[in-house]
Amino acid sequence: MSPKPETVTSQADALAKGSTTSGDLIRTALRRAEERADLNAFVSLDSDVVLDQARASDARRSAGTTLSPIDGVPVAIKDNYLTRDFPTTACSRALPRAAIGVDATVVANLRAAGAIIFGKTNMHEWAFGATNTTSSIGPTRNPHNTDHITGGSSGGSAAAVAAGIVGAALGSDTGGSVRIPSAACGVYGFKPTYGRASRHGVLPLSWSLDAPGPIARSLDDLALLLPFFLGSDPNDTATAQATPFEKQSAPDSPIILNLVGEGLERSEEVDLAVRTALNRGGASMKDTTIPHLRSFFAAWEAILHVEASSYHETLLADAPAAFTSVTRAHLEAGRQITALQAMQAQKLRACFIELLLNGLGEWDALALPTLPVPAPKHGQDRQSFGGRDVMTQDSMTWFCWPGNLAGLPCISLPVETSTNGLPISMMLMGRPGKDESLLEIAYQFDNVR
Amino acid sequence: MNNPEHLTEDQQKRIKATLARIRGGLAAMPQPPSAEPAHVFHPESFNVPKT
Repeated sequence: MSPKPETVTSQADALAKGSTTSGDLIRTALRRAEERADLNAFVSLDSDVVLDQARASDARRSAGTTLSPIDGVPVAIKDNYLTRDFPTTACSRALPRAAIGVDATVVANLRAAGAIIFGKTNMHEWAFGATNTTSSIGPTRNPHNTDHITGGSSGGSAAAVAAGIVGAALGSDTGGSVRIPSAACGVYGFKPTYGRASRHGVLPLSWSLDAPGPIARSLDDLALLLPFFLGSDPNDTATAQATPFEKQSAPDSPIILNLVGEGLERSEEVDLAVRTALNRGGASMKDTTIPHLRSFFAAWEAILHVEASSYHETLLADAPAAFTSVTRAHLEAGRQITALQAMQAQKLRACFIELLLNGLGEWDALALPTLPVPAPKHGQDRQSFGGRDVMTQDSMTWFCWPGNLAGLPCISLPVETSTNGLPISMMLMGRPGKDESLLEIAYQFDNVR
Repeated sequence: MNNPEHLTEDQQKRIKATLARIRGGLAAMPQPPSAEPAHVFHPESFNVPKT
């Protein structure tokens, strides 16, 4: 086994002290990627490209022209972000395997800061799924136990971070795709408030639900990376009023609502782990239920399917065989949702946001497990927990979709290890625009084991 | 190419189940006609040059 994996923060410190070079970090990362090829975490990785970036970074540091604290630190990129030096395929057979010379806004921000764009990570095809078992290069495998799935759709990013190949990676989240694999792999994931992080250059799944976000090995690393995500971008109109990252302190005694009840069932082991973490963190919390979850879930699912089908309309008509069977079925379903049903979903969305923000009493964060069960095994199609028996795909998004339907900032952090040795994670959702405050609240529950 | 005849039995089952879930869930909570949808549209947000 390799030495203890580094965080982005520790790598940046080592570079600043001169105890390592970007070239050393990159060679180590390349070696680890090769050692853990069994995880199938990367779809594109080119040692010449990344070593060239590292040489340029080391030259800047020698010349005293370092661009930022993360200059020279490797960051892996989910394969639905455009990158100028790697192909972008969304792990679909439909897209060409050639770089098109354009960076997504978040990638451009990181590159401008000197980060090494390390390679592209495996993902669920077009991000339309949360297991990471459907991909043009095959499934990812969980670093904690390769018999288990990573979750998705940013499964390669989470696996690469959990295995210590890189300290951080980018994901995108439409119904939990940053948080789900982060939880399944025992690392940290953040989904920003909708409209605070630019989606420009991130291939869409569902425009009004998508949010790009970081996956990392610590809260400090998330804090280091969020400034590259948050802020206005003229290429993404949703961010017109977005403010840049500004460190905030947490409320003195944050009010946490622990969401429970019908539609939010979980295994006893997961429930105990999250309650224990909340108690050890000293949370002032109370159990709270949300009514009509079945209808609100239908609203999320309708919006997801309609927007995805709209985005893929031409390709679906011209080359349906370009999609795997399950993804094509999703897209065909979206085509059959009527305009009135789509509008009904948007009305329910408004009700849901109103209910969460103004109908539950005062709160600073909403708490849930990130997943109702630890990462399922490959080939296990159904999950049973809390009296429910559901498809594995549905169990993955079980707690995550509300954050996207309401556009709230969300964070997933590991809090316990299950009896079968897999991570159990907790999710906190914050009030819209309070991303920095949510991050500070999360520190209260970090490392409380 | 999008004729249902070209879909497999498994695909048709999945589509039926998805639509039943969506339509059933939406119908279970009808909204008053005056309820405004959550579409976010800020015309002024287009009033910035693209880079």
